[in-house]
Amino acid sequence: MEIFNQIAESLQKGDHEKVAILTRKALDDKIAVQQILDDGLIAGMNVVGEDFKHHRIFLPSVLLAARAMYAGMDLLKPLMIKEDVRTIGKVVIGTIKGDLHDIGKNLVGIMLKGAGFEVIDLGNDVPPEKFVQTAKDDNADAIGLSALLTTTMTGMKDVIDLMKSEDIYGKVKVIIGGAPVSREFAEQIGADFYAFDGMNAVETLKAYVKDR
Amino acid sequence: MTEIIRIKIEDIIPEQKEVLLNQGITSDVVLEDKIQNILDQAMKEFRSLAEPSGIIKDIPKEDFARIYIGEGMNEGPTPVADVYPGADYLALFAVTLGERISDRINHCFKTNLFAEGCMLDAAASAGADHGAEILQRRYEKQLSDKYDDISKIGALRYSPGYCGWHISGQKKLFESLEPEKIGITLRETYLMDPLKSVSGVIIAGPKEIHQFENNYPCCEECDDQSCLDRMQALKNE
Ligand code: B1M
Repeated sequence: MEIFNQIAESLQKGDHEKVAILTRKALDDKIAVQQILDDGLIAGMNVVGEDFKHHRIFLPSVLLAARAMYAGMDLLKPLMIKEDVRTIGKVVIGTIKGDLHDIGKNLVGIMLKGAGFEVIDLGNDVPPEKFVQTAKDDNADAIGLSALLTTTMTGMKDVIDLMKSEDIYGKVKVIIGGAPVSREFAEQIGADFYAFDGMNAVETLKAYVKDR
Repeated sequence: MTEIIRIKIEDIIPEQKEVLLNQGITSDVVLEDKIQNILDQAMKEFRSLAEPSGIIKDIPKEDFARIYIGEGMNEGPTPVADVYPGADYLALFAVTLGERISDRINHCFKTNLFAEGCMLDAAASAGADHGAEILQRRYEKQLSDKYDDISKIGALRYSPGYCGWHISGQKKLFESLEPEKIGITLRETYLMDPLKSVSGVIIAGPKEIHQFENNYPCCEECDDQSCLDRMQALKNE
């Protein structure tokens, strides 16, 4: 349908106003929320993701597109809740306790949302209890942990330990990232996945929800 | 002697190409107008929001030895441990851009202005580094009275968290320098508040003391090559 192409193209251009207008129009035309989301917004964001991965566009363009996606999502969100429209997965994300660093976690959250995940962003300086409680309350598929320093990344294990004692370890997956974190560290602390950047986090979690 | 320094914003404004490079955009890329506008706006906000200030304190070598040992967590032989014994003068320093710029970055993300927030963040990161550079240059200038031939002397900065100096070194550094006087506080995790802050030591002495092979144990896991650039720049000075 033409409207989906228009939404996707406007999104790729980072035109948030136009995306909002077109999304509103699609809703007025009684197009299903799920279809607007999948064939318009997410389809557009997928192209953006691929372009970014292949260095055809750069981070600011991705972020403008993400803003446009959010403009459309803001209109869909109330209806998604009402109609129980399912996202591809739910991720609770945050920066570990004692760490103020936001930017990397924000980028990962934006990319995940752009790929169609529901993201619950707990912000920074988040205690383990809050990660675990939110994951339980909201029935999350994964917890995403970010850290800036070698001293704060050790807090990731505290979250995993608490998940074990609360019996959600294994049921809710853990993905970690941040400058000092590595794949080896992820294995060492029992995290399920490590991602080096936002796109990699998207690919990793997409593969997980697909195989599930 | 401890000195508090109000740094002029003009002295730390990053170049546009640095801000872009911090986001992976190399100087050969032609920017779309809308991205250029975001960059211009970020530079404007940087000028109005950054509150750069620094603190610097001369420190005898023996005192630095204690600070360097910190909590006893440094990784065996390290470049810093080999460089500082050859120093003539040392000074602890810390610099911050203040809270306002970080607040603005957070606000941008909360209001979906992601590209704007990221651009300002990249500018602030570069600006914080420039602040440290300003303190180093100022210190070098002050030292020029103390030497007959300053051209043979090199001053470089080293920071906890780099080159094998464990980040827990922040604790003793803070105890001695007291950067709280310029509004920087240290968390238990050794993270500084505000985020856009840098701490370390400026080590001054014959240029040769700063030259090392990057084959220390800590170099194995490090993919930051800036030490090599700094050594080369010092040689060329
Ligand atoms: C959930 O799943 C996931 C998946 C992927 C995830 C994820 C979660 N979270 C992140 N990711 C990943 O995806 C994101 C998007 O691509 C990425 O997120 P990032 O947050 O990594 O990326 C950001 C978008 C951009 N990247 C950044 O902003 C960090 C870049 C580097 C170069 C860096 C910068 C710019 C800065 N720093 Co500093 N800094 C370094 C960094 C080295 C590096 N190569 O990363 C690092 C983090 N710093 C370090 C240090 C030591 C420090 N820094 C300091 C200061 C600074 C600046 C102010 C100059 C500046 C800004 C800091 C800031 N974050 O705002 C100090 C601390 C500041 C503080 N407040 O306490 C200071 C302590 C130095 C000092 N003594 O002053 C090192 C930490 C080492 C350690 N032992 O922990 C460091 C790794 C550099 C190094 N040595 O190689 C990925 O990591």
